[in-house]
Amino acid sequence: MFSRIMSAAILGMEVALIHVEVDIAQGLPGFILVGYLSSEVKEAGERVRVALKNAGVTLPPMRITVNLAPANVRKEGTAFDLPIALGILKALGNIPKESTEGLIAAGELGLNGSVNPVRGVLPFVRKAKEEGIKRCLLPMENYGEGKLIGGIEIVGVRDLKETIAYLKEGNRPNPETERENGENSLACAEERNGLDFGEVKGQAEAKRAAEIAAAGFHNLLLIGPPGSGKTMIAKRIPGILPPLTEEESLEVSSVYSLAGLLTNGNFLVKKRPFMSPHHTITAQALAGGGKQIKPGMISLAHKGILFLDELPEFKAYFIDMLRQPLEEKKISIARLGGNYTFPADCMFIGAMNPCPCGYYPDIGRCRCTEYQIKRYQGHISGPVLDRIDLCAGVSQVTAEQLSQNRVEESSSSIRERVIQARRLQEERYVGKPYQCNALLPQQDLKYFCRLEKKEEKLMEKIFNKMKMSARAYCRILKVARTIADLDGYEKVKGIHIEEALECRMGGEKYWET
Amino acid sequence: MQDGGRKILGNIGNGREGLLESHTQNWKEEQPYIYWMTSVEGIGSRTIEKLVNHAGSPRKVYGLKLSDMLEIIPKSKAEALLMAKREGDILEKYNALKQKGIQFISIYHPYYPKRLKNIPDAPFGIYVEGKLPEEDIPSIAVIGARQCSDYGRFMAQRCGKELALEGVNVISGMAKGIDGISQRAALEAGGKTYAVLGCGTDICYPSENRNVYIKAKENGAVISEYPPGTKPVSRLFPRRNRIISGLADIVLIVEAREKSGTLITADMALEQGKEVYVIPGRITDCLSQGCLRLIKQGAGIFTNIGELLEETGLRNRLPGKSGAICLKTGRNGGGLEGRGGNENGGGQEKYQGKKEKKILDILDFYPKNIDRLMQETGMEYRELICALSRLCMEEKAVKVGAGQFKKG
Repeated sequence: MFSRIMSAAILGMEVALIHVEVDIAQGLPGFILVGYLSSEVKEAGERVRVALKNAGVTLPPMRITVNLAPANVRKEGTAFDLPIALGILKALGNIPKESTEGLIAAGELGLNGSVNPVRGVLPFVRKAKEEGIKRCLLPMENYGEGKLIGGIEIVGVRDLKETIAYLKEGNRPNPETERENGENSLACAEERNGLDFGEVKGQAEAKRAAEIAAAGFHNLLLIGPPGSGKTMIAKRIPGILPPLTEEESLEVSSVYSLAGLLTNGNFLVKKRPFMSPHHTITAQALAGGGKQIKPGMISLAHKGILFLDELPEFKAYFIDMLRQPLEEKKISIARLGGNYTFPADCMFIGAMNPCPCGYYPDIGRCRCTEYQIKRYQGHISGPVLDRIDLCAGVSQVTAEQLSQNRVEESSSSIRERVIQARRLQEERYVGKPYQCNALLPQQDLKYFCRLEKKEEKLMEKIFNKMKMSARAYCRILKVARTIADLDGYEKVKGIHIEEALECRMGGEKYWET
Repeated sequence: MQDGGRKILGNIGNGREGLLESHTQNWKEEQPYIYWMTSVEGIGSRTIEKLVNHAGSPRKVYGLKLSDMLEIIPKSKAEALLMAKREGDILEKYNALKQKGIQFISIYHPYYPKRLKNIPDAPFGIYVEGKLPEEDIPSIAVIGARQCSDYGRFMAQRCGKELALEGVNVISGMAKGIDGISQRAALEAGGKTYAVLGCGTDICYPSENRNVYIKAKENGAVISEYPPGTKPVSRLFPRRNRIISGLADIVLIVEAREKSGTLITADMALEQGKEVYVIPGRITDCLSQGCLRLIKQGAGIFTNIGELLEETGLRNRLPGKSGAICLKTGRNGGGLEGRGGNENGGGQEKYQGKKEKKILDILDFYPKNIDRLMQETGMEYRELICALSRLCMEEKAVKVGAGQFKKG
């Protein structure tokens, strides 16, 4: 009496197909689970036995052996409860053999026989579809999430009885409400967080930098005295980014699904994520990891913004940890169970004071010594700074500015320009692995940022005068390219270069004080 | 030299005439015993004076017993003195000092700077690495805030350099900020500088001025009244200020806050009868408050080196100087606009565009942020930033901090 049911294990962002093999044979009665299982999978045996009993299925006094193959892949999570129960039912002949043909199942069981939700359904269903599997048996609460991926039949179940009835007689349980065309549709308008750049008075420099950063997906560093509005500006940047595309939304939702954050009927992330961890965060929470590997903040900010407020307060090695993911747009975590890769294509925004007291270079208020300033700024290492294309000063707002009734530009009009610039980039980078200026690799820079003779001369002059590194040179060109895109220019002009030059790290001098 | 030494004594007005005269003759023998007394912590000039007056000469102080000492000084001090005496041979220690290249110059020594001898509370002995300033060459102390503005930095640099070119010795405390900057500038211009430290001469404090410390020993000296090995402790610093002003003919204050150690030096200089000059600043700048207060109290106002030297009559004491350089600097540095007025003026004319000129008019030594510049020029962000970018490239403007610009 042997049976086999398909399921899948989640390994970081990757999903591996798993066969749940059940054998029921004569011998000393017992329930044995094998196959490189973590402790929560081992506990599945007890859950399954009691759930089956409460669903009206009595297990015979026989030896039940369950193997999760391939046996060399680490299995974690509670999603194997349902496939194990199905395997036993099939082996016992309680459900017809053909009923599980082309079926993949996942779900956690309650002792009363209920089927409870699991995390990571989105990547799970995606993988199933890729593998050519026809049907997915999922907990009812994950039904909507599974439904997001078209072209595969999703069956939601509430408990084991319903599952047996479905597999025996084909009674497809009905989901309570068909939400799929409602708020979870990809077509619906993006939710807004109600923050608008129109509320920010003055700050021309920081606003412009935010616009350029959004247009080219550049990383940004905001520097200014306390209370000047660094956080205020950063929080408004998601509002000027173009809306998530269908594909991006699914990608982001997959990450959230893995983290178990898709709840309350919201199965699709439609807003660009904005992650703002406090500086007491642990390395695992930032990069990803933990006992059950979960994506970290940097992956949860995928396609959105990772904002580190009070950057120097973060432990130096945390900031340095971001070096590789900022470059490669993904993060690989090596753990005992294997290597896990999570996407981490986020825009990095840092905010910091210029010195410990926050008022440098205002000599009237700042009494920090040069050494203190150096030390403070030294928290952010050169390699990290190298990955930050833009640096903007946020200045203390004067009472005069606050009381002025000048109408500031709203987020929506800035956003229109950003979308326009993005469109130009997408057209230009058709067929390339990158879609925005920030990711433009050095070897393609010459081709896409072709300069006229006059501009070439200007760059040469800047390069010699500023004694800059090759990397800094590229950074200026990339930013100039984005500024030209914002202006709708095909070629990078002198004014674009000049502006890009001022968006750089407050002139290298800043870091030398 | 002994003749010279005796001649000076006639001018001393601090009540030590008799005492000094009697020991100047055999200063060589007396030196180690003064070294012994000054090297003991807690023993100041006043105690030494008492002891020497009591015993007759430093050597005789050495022979005093505890009971004799107790008659005039407290027990703790007497014990400390005797403890140092017991610890080792004074002569040996004194000779070891010489081998390290540190000279000990007691007040009886003919080379003891006469300018210093004239001040009240003159140190009984100083430790010197390098050569002491020549007596007839004018020297000016350039001092100021440790944390200075860019204006102060610029002025310190200019004064240090121009004084050196004039052949004037620059005296200062080698501290961070104004002190170190002026001394470095003087050394770079090929002049001589004398650094008076608040720690032992074998310790370079602050370490960032190491190059000044090393070069000053070759072109000038590093001076301290504290024995080698004395750590830089904040309470020792105010006292060394009297030596700075003491060694100088004039004290020039570049920048000082309202409450500042620099003002202590100014007070001491006035007490010592030295003239105090200050570099004026704007009334709104907190780093000018100290200078402005001194002006109110009657300090001289510095506008350029040439004028300063004329006004104070120091020019006459400059050996073999034709005054050509001073004329030049006088013309060039007439205003405070910038290094090399000619270059600056020419540069401004070069801009046909009015934008850059407008910005240059508004830019200052104190950084201004973009929002303020936008307001003051009435320009749009993009034209402003592009113009600033061009100015930065020409080094007419400098970016300090994020989004803050000042005059180059």
